[in-house]
Amino acid sequence: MEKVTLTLQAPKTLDKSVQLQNGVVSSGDLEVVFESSDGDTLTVIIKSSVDNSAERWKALFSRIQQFNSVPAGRMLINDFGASPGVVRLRVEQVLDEAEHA
Amino acid sequence: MTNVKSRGAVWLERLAPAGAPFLPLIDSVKAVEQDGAIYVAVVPDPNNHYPRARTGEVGLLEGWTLAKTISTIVKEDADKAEKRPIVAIVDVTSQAYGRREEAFGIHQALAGSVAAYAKAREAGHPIVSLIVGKAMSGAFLAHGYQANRILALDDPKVLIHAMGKESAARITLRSVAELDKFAAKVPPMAYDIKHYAELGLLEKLLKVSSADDPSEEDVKQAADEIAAAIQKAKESPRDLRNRLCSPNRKATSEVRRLVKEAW
Amino acid sequence: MHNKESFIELGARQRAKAILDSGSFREILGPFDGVESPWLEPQGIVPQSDDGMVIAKGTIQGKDAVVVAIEGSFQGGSMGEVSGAKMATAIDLAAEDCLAGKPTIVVLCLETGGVRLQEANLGLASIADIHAAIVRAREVTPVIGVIAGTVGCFGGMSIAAALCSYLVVTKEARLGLNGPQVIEQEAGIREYNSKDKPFIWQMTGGEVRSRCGFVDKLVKDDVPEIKKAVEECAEKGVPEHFRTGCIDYFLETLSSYDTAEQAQPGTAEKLYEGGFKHD
Repeated sequence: MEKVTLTLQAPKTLDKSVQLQNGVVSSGDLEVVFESSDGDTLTVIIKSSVDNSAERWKALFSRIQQFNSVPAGRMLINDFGASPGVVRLRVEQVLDEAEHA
Repeated sequence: MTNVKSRGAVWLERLAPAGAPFLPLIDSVKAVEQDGAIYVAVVPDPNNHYPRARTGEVGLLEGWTLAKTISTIVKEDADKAEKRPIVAIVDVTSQAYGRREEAFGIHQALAGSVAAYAKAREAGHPIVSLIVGKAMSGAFLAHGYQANRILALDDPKVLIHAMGKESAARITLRSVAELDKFAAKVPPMAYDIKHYAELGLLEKLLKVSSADDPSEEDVKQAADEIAAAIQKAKESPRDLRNRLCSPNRKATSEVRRLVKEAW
Repeated sequence: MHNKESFIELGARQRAKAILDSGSFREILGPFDGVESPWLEPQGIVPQSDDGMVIAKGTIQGKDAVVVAIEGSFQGGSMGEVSGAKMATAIDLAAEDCLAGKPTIVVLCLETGGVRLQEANLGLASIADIHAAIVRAREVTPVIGVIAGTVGCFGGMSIAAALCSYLVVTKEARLGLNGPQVIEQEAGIREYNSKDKPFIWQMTGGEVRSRCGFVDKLVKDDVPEIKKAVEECAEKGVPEHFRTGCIDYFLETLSSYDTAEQAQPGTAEKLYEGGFKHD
């Protein structure tokens, strides 16, 4: 199991406090748990069943940041071997919901 | 052909040598009343009506017979102030595995026994389990796990778990060696009684000179500890909260506390 | 075009929401409370934020209720220390509320293979706690089990199901003590072929369990139907008898069956023709 912590620049803080959860830790899937906070960073704590995947996670979130405005807070990811496509789907869904909360 | 007695049968005999049979119904469930307490064991019956329950498993008939035995004790003592103690001698290799068992509802049979034991405990019968051999999964749930207090012999053949090692390995996609390795750092995964004792579920671990052929001292020690556990049960709440005292089970206490707070 | 709302396709959280009155759902010890299994990470297994168990308080037809739902997709719905403690505690607290004059219906969504082997003895101990809790609670409030599939309800939790006041199942559901692979391993493939799916459902599927009398309602995999079935059970209140009280009936019936015969599809239904009789 791999544990990766990323600290991303978060250009915005949300107006109100937001708690969101998406997904399930089943084979090929992942769970995303997000809690907003003040400040200017999004801390992403990833636990993944895929070893040696730190670089891939960094790259994935780098890409996500390009297309999404990332809110300040804490995001937990519990990943059971989801494909990058599924990861992006769930993360972006949470980010989208956070924006419209 | 010699019939080697199971540990459960041996300990039943030694603890209650002068006991009178209590409601004998089938050969695999032996209940004996002595000095106002009833001792119950599940023992091998090579002539069991159900072929998949012939080596000491808790099967269809065992589940319902335990239910009958325990509920009869409760019924008989319903109007008495002092409820007779029940001593479950536990040496059960597993639940019975078979087609008839599943088709005819072994899950319901074991529930019958669980309900009877739990209701007896709630009615005020002090229930003490003494694990002398195996206490495995559904069989232990049905016979022993609803006790107020659980005692066990400190012996390498005393094994408690949810599933036999080979099956567990197969299902978790690990080797038996890997499972043993994890068990070394994850106490709840271990099979042996020493690790089990670290989980806070046991009242006491009894060191005996021979678990297979107990000496007089062994039997006296067990009898004394059973009596002490019965007394403790009488003086304590009737639920299972006494099982919450180990650091290895602290997450359970945390959950109970937090759920209550948020309720 | 089917306009069916599948219950089976819903995760635990959505199942609890579906059963409770709309808008009444309030989760306890959810994903944001950080109470996970302490035993999985040391084994290199990724935990889930709620340990695969959802406790949701709310109302059912305006009456106070708690739904405890197992997430079947996480580790096969298996019972660990934390998930088991969540269920046992919720049932205990509901019973306490009832005794204090605040009736609370209990609904258990059972989607589980039994004990989580990675937590073995703590999972087993938590199931014993759940058994004790159900036996206590069912005297004062309906404890309604819902088994929908696809995992079904096995192991020590099948015993929990059999302790419930009422059971609602779909035909996709299974309810049995031992998993098919374990039976095949222990008893051989001729006794139990774990790969023969029609056979397995003929032994332990929702339909056969319903025909024999082991469950109370057989419903379609449809959210409104399941919701209605739960509500109907809740309305019945505490039943006069429990299946666990049919001791003499089962002893007689099972003793008189000729075990020279193997069980075939149809055997159990014939054996239990006429229904279970209470002592």
